[in-house]
Amino acid sequence: MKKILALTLALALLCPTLGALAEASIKIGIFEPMTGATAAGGAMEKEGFDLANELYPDVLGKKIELVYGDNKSDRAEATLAAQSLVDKGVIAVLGSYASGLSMAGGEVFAEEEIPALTATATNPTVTLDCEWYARICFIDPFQGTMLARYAVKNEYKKIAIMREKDSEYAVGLVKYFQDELANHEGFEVVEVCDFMNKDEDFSALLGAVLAAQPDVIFTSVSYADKAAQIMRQARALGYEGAFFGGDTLDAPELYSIAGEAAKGAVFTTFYDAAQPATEKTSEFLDAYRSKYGKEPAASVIMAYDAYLTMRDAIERAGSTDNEAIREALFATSGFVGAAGTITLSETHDAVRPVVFKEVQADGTTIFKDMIEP
Amino acid sequence: MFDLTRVLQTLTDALSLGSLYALIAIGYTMVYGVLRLINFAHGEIFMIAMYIVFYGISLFTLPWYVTFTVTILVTALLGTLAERLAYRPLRSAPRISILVSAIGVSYFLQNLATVIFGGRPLNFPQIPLFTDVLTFGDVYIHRLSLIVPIVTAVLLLMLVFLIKRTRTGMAMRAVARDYDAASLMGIDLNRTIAITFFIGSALAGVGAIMWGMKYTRISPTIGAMPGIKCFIAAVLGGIGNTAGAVLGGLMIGFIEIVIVALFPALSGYRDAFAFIVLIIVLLVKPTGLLGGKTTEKV
Repeated sequence: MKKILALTLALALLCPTLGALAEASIKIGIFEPMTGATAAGGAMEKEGFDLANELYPDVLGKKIELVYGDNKSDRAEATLAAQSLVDKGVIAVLGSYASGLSMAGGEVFAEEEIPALTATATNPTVTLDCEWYARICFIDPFQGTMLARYAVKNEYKKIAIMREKDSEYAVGLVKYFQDELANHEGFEVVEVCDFMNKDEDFSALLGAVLAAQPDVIFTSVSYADKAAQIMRQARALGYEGAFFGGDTLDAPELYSIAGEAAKGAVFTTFYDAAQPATEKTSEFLDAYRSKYGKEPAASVIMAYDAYLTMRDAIERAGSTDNEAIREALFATSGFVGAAGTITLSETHDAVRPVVFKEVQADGTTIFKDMIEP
Repeated sequence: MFDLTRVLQTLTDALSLGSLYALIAIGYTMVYGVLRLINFAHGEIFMIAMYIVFYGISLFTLPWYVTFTVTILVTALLGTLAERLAYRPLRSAPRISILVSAIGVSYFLQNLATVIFGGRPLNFPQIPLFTDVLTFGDVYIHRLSLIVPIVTAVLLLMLVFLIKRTRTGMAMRAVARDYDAASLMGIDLNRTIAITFFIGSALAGVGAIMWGMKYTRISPTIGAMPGIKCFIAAVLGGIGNTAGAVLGGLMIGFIEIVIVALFPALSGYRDAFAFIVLIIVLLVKPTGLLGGKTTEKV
């Protein structure tokens, strides 16, 4: 018995050493909320990363191993999760959903000099404050401006805003929206109401909003479920006007929770499946539909593209050296992804069109408009 | 713009939210009354109940009345089970151990729900009988907004009857007074405490059903916020006092809704107002609004 024990212990000691000698795989960290308020966003992006890893499993002749770090939708936890990814030896990081979480992780990645790439975090601060973060989505000053122009185009003269106060993304988007709206005569924001992510009851807030008789309610939220609750409660209070919101509304929960109340709601997003963008689009769509048996949300395809972009950068860097990967990543230009062509600007942000979609009575969404920057 | 319509609308919203808080606060207060334990897992038991309804109706397509009955029973048993496994073995340990155990149960259930049900929010099934909207002139009222206060009132009356008029209730009161003495008098301590948890958790189940139909969203962390609010409500009303819990719940509901209705700009701070009221009340009357005199046992 003692011998067996000794042997097992010896083997256990030997194993990590053997693993280090072989160095068979390249580790990429997946930095996402798997639990907590924005867990659903993390789940969508994970689908994209996993699918891309299945179809393109290697780089530089080695296997890519995805290492998951759950940032728990919490900024303090995000710092810990980021540190634990670094400690596990990842050479690059993908994620996170929710700008605030990316910012928290960014501090660690900058300190440890690990190149990071987010698929959908749109707040400008993510890449502005961090010399190691890049993104393949557009940024909120652009998105907010386009939302304001959308409101103007539709003659929504009186606009009420429901803003999730504890989300950097939601607060930022409203600011850029208001900045642009100020340039248009005759359009005004009649009410800005703040709520917290944990709030469930919006009846009193909506009472104040409806008393101002808005033409439209702009829901700026960290994830679609809050917008869905607002829509449902607003309709129950007799509101008959329109709704619109940013890219976080592009998720299945919008309709599953709001039901009929979401009908006619318009939101911005990165991509529309009905408008195949590149030759890689159909490869992604076929693989996704056969694996998950449903239609992908925009966040899924963006995550898929983030993986491919990072893989391409490592390939071009030709090594796993962090400086080389960062340089190659920031120099990404004309890379063909499944959702469109990706070129990073000098602020390491992607420049890409914004898509407008509308929710139908049966819960599907249709393409409404696409605006180039 | 505060016309009569808006005032009525605000008051119905407040009454409906307040009664929901009251329903959940009763569970806290009952357990505290008998065991001197703040059952931090109460909010999580409430959360599990919502998932049971979801699976009952959406997955097994059971009719709502069957699902609701099953949910309330399972929730009640879950609460009793938590008491049996996590609290009973610690009953003679220092008070702080059992409190920590309660926090442990709370985290355990929350994480268990994340593993089993996933982190993505689900939609609570809608039952038209309860969720239709009625209109009286320009006032829009969810049927639920009328049903919740009635359910709360009926359950409160039943509970008061149980506590004041039945042998079980008498046993509960005796245990609450002094449980060593009560067990010397031949009261089955385990049974009485189990019944308390059973009833308290069943009420959390009823609260969860109402909450779910009103706010339509389920997630593993959904129990945390009502858990805290209703705990405050129970303390505000005088923890250990059933009528106090209802009063506290109604007060918190009214403060939240009315403050936001009057000052929409302050809506981000609405929880702060509930706490301010709590602090003021406790400064003036440390045992809560309806709390009796406490004699610290040595």
